[in-house]
Amino acid sequence: MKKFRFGIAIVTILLLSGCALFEQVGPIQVVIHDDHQEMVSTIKKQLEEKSELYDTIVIAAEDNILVTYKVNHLNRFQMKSIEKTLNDWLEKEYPDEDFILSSDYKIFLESYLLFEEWDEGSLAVDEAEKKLEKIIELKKELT
Amino acid sequence: MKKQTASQKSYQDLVDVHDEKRPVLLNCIKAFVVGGIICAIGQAVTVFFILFFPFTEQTAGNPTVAVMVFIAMLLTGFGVYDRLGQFAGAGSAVPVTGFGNSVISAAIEHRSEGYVLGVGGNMFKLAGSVIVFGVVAAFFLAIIKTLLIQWGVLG
Repeated sequence: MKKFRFGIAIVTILLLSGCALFEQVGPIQVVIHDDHQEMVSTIKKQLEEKSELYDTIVIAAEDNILVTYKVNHLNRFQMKSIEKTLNDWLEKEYPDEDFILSSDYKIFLESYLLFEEWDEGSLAVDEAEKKLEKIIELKKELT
Repeated sequence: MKKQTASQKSYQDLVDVHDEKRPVLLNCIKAFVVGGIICAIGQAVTVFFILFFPFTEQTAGNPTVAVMVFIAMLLTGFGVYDRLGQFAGAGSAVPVTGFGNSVISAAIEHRSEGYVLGVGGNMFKLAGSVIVFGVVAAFFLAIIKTLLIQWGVLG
């Protein structure tokens, strides 16, 4: 019985220690390349107005803009259509830019870690770009 | 059901009188709870893979299945999973863990016949049908999906 309780405790700790995965970390924007400041703010505001989403991170690099968000649990069935409407809106507003949208928790977590490092100021611009590239690569992976 | 002769029918009636009634509802609840617990553990493994390894929600499914099957295999070897199966029935057989159980239990059963003809030949006695029908179903589903995408029905 004691061992069983110990196991449950470990599983609970493991589950709750997920930091940014399970709690709302608030809307975040990261601008690696200065040109995009205004656009990123607009996108962030637009995302905040959506009631289906509750947590967003927008990261802008020189030619890639990564938009990640968490979908409310009851709206997860409509995840595909949410992504489609969002993508359509972004394409219409900013036809020149390259957008990567993701509602994946892993992508969110990685972007949050990138934001934390960027916020501390311990990251150079090209390093941050490289990390962003890695996240995008991870997003495109399918198997 | 096959047509029964009169004597078969009277015998069946006799059986029905003496037969113990199956607690169907209770069995369903047990299966539901135990199956749910197994799936919760699976979800925890998925979260573990997402947190500590470079897997996304999409790709974390494969290693999770492998780990769950492996855990079930170990538990079968230790003799724990049999008891769980007795208690929960379909609740322990329907999740992927039932696959690992069927592989190892068949292997253990035929151990006395030698490694090649016994263990090797009989290991997939039960699990083989899972693989065969899984592959066949996946094959046809993939064909249907490809055709639907080609015709523009699916996006």
